[in-house]
Amino acid sequence: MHRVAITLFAALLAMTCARTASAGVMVHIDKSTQRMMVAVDGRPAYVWPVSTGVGGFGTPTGHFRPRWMARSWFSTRYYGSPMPYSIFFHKGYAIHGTNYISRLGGPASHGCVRLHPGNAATLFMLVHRYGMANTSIAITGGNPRYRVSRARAF
Amino acid sequence: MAMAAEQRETSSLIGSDKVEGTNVYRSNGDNIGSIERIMIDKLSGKVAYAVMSFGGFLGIGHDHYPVPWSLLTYNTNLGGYEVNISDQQLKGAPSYANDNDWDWEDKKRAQQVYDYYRVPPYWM
Repeated sequence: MHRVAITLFAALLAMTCARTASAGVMVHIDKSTQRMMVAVDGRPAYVWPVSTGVGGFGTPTGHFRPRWMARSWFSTRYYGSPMPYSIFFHKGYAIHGTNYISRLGGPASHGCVRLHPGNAATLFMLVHRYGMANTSIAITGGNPRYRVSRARAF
Repeated sequence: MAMAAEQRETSSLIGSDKVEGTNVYRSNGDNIGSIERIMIDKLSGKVAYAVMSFGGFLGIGHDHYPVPWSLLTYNTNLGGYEVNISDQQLKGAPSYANDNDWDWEDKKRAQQVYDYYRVPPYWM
């Protein structure tokens, strides 16, 4: 009887784990390659170039989940800069679309994770569809060691 | 006494307990969610927002939408609130995952919510 209970519990646990591991949207941002990988229901779906924080403006590393989101948003900190398709995951840090498309693939932001506006829209709709609670965001790696742009990042 | 307490609605007033849980519909009758709570401005007593909730994918992970109260109209035929928000507008609306994820004190944020829906803010 006791054994049956343990087996049942193990089976339940395995099912729960399998579900949390694959169901929903998983976003992985690798700062060292400046790429975002998106998996939907455990299957790789997209790889996109990003811009994370440049110089002293670090993008936080760790595991997060979306906290709030808005299609049309303007930075309250940086002169009302447009942040289309914002997905905020930690304080004022968000994944959002950018006009600085040519900078994508290299660090350029104030700490946010920038995407091409089209890709930002795709991600936004995915998160909206699956719900914020079913989305995880992992940010790993350190900034790549190459040219540090002197241009001011916005 | 008891009767007064049970009267949850008059022609110009409505009880908060009657608002909460009420369905929200589009003009065409589509049910798009329900009202979870109302947020009242403590100073003026005005209703600042209705927080709508919508089912997440597979019914888990409900997200919450602060919507200006002035957008909602009670429709007796539908038996709920009618709101003219397109699917497109709703999909892009400011929303939050959990109660402690939204900073109600942030006036700039409040402004952007009202800007999004293009209605005059409650504090004006």
